[in-house]
Amino acid sequence: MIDKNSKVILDVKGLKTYFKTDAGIVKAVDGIDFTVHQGETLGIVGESGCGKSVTNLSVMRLIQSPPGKTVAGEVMFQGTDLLKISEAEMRNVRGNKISMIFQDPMTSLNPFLKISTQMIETIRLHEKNVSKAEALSRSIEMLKKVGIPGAEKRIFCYPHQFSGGMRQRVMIAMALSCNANLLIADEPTTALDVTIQAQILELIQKVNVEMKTAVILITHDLGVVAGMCDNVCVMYAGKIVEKAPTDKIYKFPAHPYTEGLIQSVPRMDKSGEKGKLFSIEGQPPNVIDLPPCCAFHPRCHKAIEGLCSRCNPPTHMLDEDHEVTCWLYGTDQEKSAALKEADARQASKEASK
Amino acid sequence: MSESVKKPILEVKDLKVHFPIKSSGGLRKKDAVIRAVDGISFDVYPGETLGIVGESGCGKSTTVRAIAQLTKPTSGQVIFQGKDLCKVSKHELLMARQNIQMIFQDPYASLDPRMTVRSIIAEPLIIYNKRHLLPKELSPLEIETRVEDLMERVGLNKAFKNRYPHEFSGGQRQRIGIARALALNPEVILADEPVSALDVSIQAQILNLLRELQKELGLTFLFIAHDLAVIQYISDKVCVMYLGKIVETSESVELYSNPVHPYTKALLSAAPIPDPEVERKRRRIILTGDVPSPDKEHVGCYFYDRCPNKMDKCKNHIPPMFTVGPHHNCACWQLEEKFPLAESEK
Amino acid sequence: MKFTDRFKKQIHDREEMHKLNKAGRNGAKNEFNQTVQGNSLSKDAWRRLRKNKAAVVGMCVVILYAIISLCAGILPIYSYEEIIIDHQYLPPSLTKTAGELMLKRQLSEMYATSWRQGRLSVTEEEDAMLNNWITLDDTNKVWNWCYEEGEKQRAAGTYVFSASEQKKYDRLQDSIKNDIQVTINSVRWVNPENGKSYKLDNLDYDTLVSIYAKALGGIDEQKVRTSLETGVNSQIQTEVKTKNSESELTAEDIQSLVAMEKDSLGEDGVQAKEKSLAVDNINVLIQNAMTKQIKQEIKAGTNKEFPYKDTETLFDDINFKVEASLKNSRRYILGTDNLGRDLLSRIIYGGRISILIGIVGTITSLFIGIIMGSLAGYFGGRVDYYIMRFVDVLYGLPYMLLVIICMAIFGTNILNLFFALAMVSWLTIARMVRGQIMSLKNQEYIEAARSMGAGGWRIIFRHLVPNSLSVIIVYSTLRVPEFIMQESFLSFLGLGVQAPLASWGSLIGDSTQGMTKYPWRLVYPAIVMTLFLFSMNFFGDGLRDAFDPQSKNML
Repeated sequence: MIDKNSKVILDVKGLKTYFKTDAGIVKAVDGIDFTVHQGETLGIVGESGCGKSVTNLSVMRLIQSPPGKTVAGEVMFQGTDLLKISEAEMRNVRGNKISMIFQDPMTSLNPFLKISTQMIETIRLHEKNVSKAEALSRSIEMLKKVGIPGAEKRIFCYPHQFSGGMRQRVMIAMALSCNANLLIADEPTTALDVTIQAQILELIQKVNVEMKTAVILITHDLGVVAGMCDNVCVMYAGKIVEKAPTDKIYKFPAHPYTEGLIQSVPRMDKSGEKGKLFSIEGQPPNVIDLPPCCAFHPRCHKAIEGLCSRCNPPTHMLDEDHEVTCWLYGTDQEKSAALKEADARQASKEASK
Repeated sequence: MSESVKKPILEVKDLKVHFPIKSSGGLRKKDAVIRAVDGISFDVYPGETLGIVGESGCGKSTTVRAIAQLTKPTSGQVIFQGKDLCKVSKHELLMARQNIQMIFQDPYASLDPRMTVRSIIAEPLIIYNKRHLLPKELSPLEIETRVEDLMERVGLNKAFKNRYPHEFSGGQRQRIGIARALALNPEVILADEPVSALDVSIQAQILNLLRELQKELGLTFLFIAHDLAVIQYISDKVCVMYLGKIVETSESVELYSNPVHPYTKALLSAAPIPDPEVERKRRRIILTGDVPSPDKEHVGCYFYDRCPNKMDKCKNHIPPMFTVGPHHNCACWQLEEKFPLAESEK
Repeated sequence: MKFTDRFKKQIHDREEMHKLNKAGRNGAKNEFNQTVQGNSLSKDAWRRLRKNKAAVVGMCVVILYAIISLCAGILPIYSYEEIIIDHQYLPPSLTKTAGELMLKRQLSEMYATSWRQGRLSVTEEEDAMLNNWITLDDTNKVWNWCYEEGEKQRAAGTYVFSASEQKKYDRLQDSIKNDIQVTINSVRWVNPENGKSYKLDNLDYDTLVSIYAKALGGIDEQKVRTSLETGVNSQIQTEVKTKNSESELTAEDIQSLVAMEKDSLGEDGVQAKEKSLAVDNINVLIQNAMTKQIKQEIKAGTNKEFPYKDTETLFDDINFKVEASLKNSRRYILGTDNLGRDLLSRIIYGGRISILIGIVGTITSLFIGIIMGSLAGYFGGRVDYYIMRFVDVLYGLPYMLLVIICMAIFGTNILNLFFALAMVSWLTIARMVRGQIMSLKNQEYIEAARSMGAGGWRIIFRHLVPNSLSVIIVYSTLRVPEFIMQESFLSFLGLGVQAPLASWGSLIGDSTQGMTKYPWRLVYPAIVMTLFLFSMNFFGDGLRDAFDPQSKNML
């Protein structure tokens, strides 16, 4: 939970990451801004292909350089721009100050090394003067904190001897072993069963409250976000379409996409109403060939004809903390100015033909 | 969806599917056996949807495959249209297969990447046509028109019929799979987690499609999922499975308003609900420990290790099904005093 | 339904299908105007292949070879029938004709001999140099030097031919200028009664006898028949003698064997032999007559342009096409071999055979391998066990030895060669296909096919094998060079392709004798073969990369 006056840990402005492929340039992330305060849990929600994982990897500078590249933007972490520091300094940040948990715990742990080796390696990489014994005892402490029974013995096991949920806990323990300020969790529970998911989410919440670690939780599950996050960003086709505190976004979703998402999830507690589920028409967009201007307009049930397909929608603050990018909230002035511009562009294109 | 005096279209009685693990090097005394499905029974009535829900490893996929006879059941009966599919001849199984079709989970792996959409959907028709098992012999033109009809019915543009599966998105591929399952006009469709691999917005489209098709064609669904909200939405009746056994079965509305078995309760409380207020007010029952593996032999209740309300009796005796309400059965020793034994147990 | 009605319905259906398919073939946009790219997996693979330059070059070279091999008949190269033994061992040259080369060789020989005899004036150092070369066995250098020195001296007038040398020289010059090669083909006889023309082979025995008699200048037909009979008898006798060359036969034994042979052939058989003998003799007569005629025309001074093609008639009724060319005006671009055969045409015809062996061998091994592999992979259990043990046993046998033994037992014709090579070459492909099928067997679409009632064979050949196609294609392009190499090895040992057929391997094998004196016989076939093998290998590598990436991740 956040304090109104807690300071900003991470401030992302205008981040753009593009991938060069055989079929064209993929604009995986196309200009996003968000901030994370100390102790806050931010949820980034979106479907597959919207760019949430790429955002994540861009912040940590883990994008493979061919074919991807962060072409623009600023990632201010505790005063330094992460996109501009050297690789060596970045290594100091990764794992130490910002740590990540990945989706598939099976593949993120090295199957050839014991857990102890991997955890000790993490600690000693960042704190050079810690002895092996001390690193070991700290690791055992962390494992106990995350709730692994018999931690003293089990630390010497190999990853395949743990179940999926246990492995994810080990990952969390590793991520927290250096007292990071920010934890980025990339779909941590998608591969897990519901009951195990509940356990892991409870654990992340504990970490957030007790150790005051800020958490960025990336997921496509709206239920998880509702239970865990303070603020929510909704992404679509590489752009953030709505940003708001959780309560507001679920009660008063402003963007038609958010609205559609929330309504298309079947609700267990409202078992009486069994009409047709609201569904967003169409398919997720083809990332190479995005629809012009607002990427959601072909599927939008509230699209304004002639406007959404020709002009980029403006960003508006509905409240002090509720932001939405949609023409539904544009002023008439903005609309007419944008239409004029679009007409001018079209005329010049036809003239040049 | 009333089934008062109807006969069930599909009856499963005491189905068991055990996979032997071959012992390595002869060092083990006894060959271990994985009890994927360990004695389940249920009935499906025509025109309704039965949902089977459970976590991974509980045996739901194996159940469905055993019913479709893709995996040979170790024992038990699967009675469809009066015949036991486990004991029937090859020819009769082929005839029965016309009426039981499957939709698979992974839209990427369930379509042959080297066949066009048209060939994929037409394949069941071609197979049965060649063996002269269709009610009417179909000419190639008739097959072609039927393929186009099916594509339109599931919401695919028929101009795409010469394309390959990898050119479609996940939701569209699942539609192709549904079209293929409908090709032979089956009566029962076994759906093995058809929406688990899809995005939320596409999931809603497919669920709507399935409901429409059920209304239009009078289909019976056996729907497997691990997402409780989806099961609740689409099913009339629900069975909850745990480690190869059914622990509770009831009508879906009843299950969510009045769960009885401790596992069901835990499952329902663990599933997240997309409403922050409701989430905040909930008290979660967090189960301790991991999902155990299905190769251990159980003397007592399978859920004993993780149950928050265990009793001594549970350790050594497997609980039978008790009737808690109309169409609501549960297998738990706690109910022994108050409720009578279920019909099937007597 | 009556036949005509059914037929009409079929046509109508086909038209309707065509309409339906046409509607589906146009590039479609999905419902939101986002274009859906239409690419099959093969098109994607082709796109990736195009980017790999080495593979594309390899593919072009392979296609070039294939085209040349197919069109070998119509290319302007010297065919096998026109072998001129005088032209043996001529070095390759683009500009000099055979005659000039033969002349040069003759002169070099003469000059070398005269150096030996001391008639060529050389300095002491040059003498020592020449002797040095001889000890080093560098005869080519000796001859070249002598030739140049001799020509220089002859032009300067300080060297004169001896009488015998002059005679040889003149004779050679004469033959170079005047020797002609005459080829006769399309020999047809025109029946004077109805004017129809027939090929000689299609005529009956009596007509042939009368033609032959006329061609010989009007001899009595009975004499002709007797001579043909005797001719056939001696043919059969020679055959019998070669068949029984180990045992000692008396004259009576031979006679009885010949009689037995004739009985087994029967009257028709004997007559057929006589017919073919007659045809051959007539052809030879025509050829000799034409040669004489053309030579006379040259002597008489009529200008004849060579090469000379015409249609002529001889002996009143026989039409034929004649081609005459100055024998020694040929140009051998790549030189000749020990029998005067043009190396270029041998390489091309040999290439045909080598490539054919590669392809046929690969296809056979693919066929057997795919069937065995898919049976083992799909059915598993005992079938798999026994097939794999069989494969293991065959793997253990030494491959080359098996092939050699096979060829030695069954004879060395080309069919046996194919059989021997394909016999144990299917093992690797069987294993690969089995592995691929076992991994694909558990995919969901196979389960889906089973749930639709598909039987084992349908699943194997409609689903599993097409999905293993990438592995199979890559393997087969890499196997073709292997086969060619194996066949070369066999030919080198003398067990492969037999003369007069050539293959690259046999060409290289034959050229090992006299490798230093006539290096072109080794170098050119080797270059051609190596180029082909490299290209196939690059192409195969490129194919493997093209088929490798997961098609799931395609955009």
